[in-house]
Amino acid sequence: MLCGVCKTREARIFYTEIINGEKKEQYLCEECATKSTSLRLKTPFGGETFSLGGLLSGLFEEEQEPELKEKISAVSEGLTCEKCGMTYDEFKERGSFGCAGCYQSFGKVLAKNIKNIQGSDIHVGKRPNGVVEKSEPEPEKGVKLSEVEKLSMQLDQAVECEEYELAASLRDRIRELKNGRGEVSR
Amino acid sequence: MNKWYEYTDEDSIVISSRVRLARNLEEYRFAGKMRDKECAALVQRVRNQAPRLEGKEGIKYYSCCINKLSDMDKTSLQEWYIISEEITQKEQETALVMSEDEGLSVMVNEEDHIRIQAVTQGADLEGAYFRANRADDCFEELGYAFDNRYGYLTTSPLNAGTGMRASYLAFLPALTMTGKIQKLVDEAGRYGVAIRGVPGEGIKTYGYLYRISNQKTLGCTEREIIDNLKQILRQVVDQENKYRDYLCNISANEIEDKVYRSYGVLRYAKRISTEDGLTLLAQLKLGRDMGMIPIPRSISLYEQMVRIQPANIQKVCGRSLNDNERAAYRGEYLNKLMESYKI
Repeated sequence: MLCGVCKTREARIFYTEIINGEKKEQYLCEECATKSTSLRLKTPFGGETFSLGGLLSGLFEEEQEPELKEKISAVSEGLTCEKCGMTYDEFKERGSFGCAGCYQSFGKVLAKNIKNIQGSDIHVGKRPNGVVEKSEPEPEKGVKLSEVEKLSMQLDQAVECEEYELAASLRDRIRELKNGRGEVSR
Repeated sequence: MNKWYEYTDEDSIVISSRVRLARNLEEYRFAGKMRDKECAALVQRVRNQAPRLEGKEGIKYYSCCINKLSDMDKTSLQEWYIISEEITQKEQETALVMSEDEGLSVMVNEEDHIRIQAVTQGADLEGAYFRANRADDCFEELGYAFDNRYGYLTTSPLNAGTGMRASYLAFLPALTMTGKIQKLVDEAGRYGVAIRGVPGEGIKTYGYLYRISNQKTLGCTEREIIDNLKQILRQVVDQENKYRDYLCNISANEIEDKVYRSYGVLRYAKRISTEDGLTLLAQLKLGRDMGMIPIPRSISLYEQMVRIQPANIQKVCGRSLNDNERAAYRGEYLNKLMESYKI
């Protein structure tokens, strides 16, 4: 079907607009849909969005060389936020996180990308009252780390240093330990 | 009580300064992953903070559920830049908490749990930040999602860190007419500052209005964001003034003619579209600001540019109007407004 506006390009979008109870339906091509929807009830002062969320996955994809992308996908494969259940692929598609925990869950893969986009990955601005800046994010001395915690820290380090092969093997080892098979195979 | 845009005379270039802060509560999943019950609880908890805001600011606050408003009311709030389009599309419970002067507003359950917005008249980002920050302190006790490395945790990583977008709304007719905007956009981009036309797409605009805002939110302090924008604004204002002088020197008669033609159409045309209305009012503002037409500076022509928008004009009329009726009523409204200026 051809676009109802330009009548030349293939219509790919079915666009419904309801203004004061009047329903208007159109089949539009992507270009005309962008133009029509940007007019939005001719409310030029409205329609402003705060974030660039939708662009995120595109930005992430563009930044990466094919080889690097492959390595990152090895690390991110099956990566899921334990708190909200969001997968890394879902995050990339939506361009937004599911919960505060996602920053930790995907942080390993995201750190470099966030730095590329924001120019930094360290917050230096306002902090909520009572939150004291930590210069050393690692656990306090004397605290005994579990094997999984130790490996997770090594995994963080490996991803930051872009040692993706090492990261992938550490990830597999952590998975084994978490599944209760780790100690047996040791 | 006066609205934020009625405090002093309208500036010839900087209409307003705005600071927005994005915040989330640790306790809930982010918007888009929340259950209806959680949305309702969040809305209630944020609305309950309104008396605290009143106490701190000493002015009245109102709140409402955005999802329960009529389409016209939602669009009207959008036209005043109080709420975003995104929040009007949500079916789950959403809310707006707003001060009587409309200078501080809080969207609840938009892309982030809490979006605080403070607007001040003219070039006063410090004033806007002061107000937004004070409101932020009020909501902080609800338990913000915060991380030592990434700062305030936002739904989109592009807002993480300070979670702050600061911006100026600037009226730049001379830079537009002389075709200098694109160059300005490119220059500002190098300093992490975005300039885009409002309303419109990219740098296209109907009323010579542009929003100048920070692009990055992480790795810089709120103070640095404000100082950087202030520096860019200073240069934009210098350039705009320089090109206004230039236009005056080479084509004062043509500009004056344009201004009075705009006045003539606004005074007598029977049907005026939103886009035409915006352009004509913008030319009138240029004429007023350049001393070509005697309209007092105490009259906010920006306010009229918002008031003639599709939903707002229907609110002025007091009933729902279709496209044709709107153009006719807008004409009638602007005719009367021009008559009241007694030129």
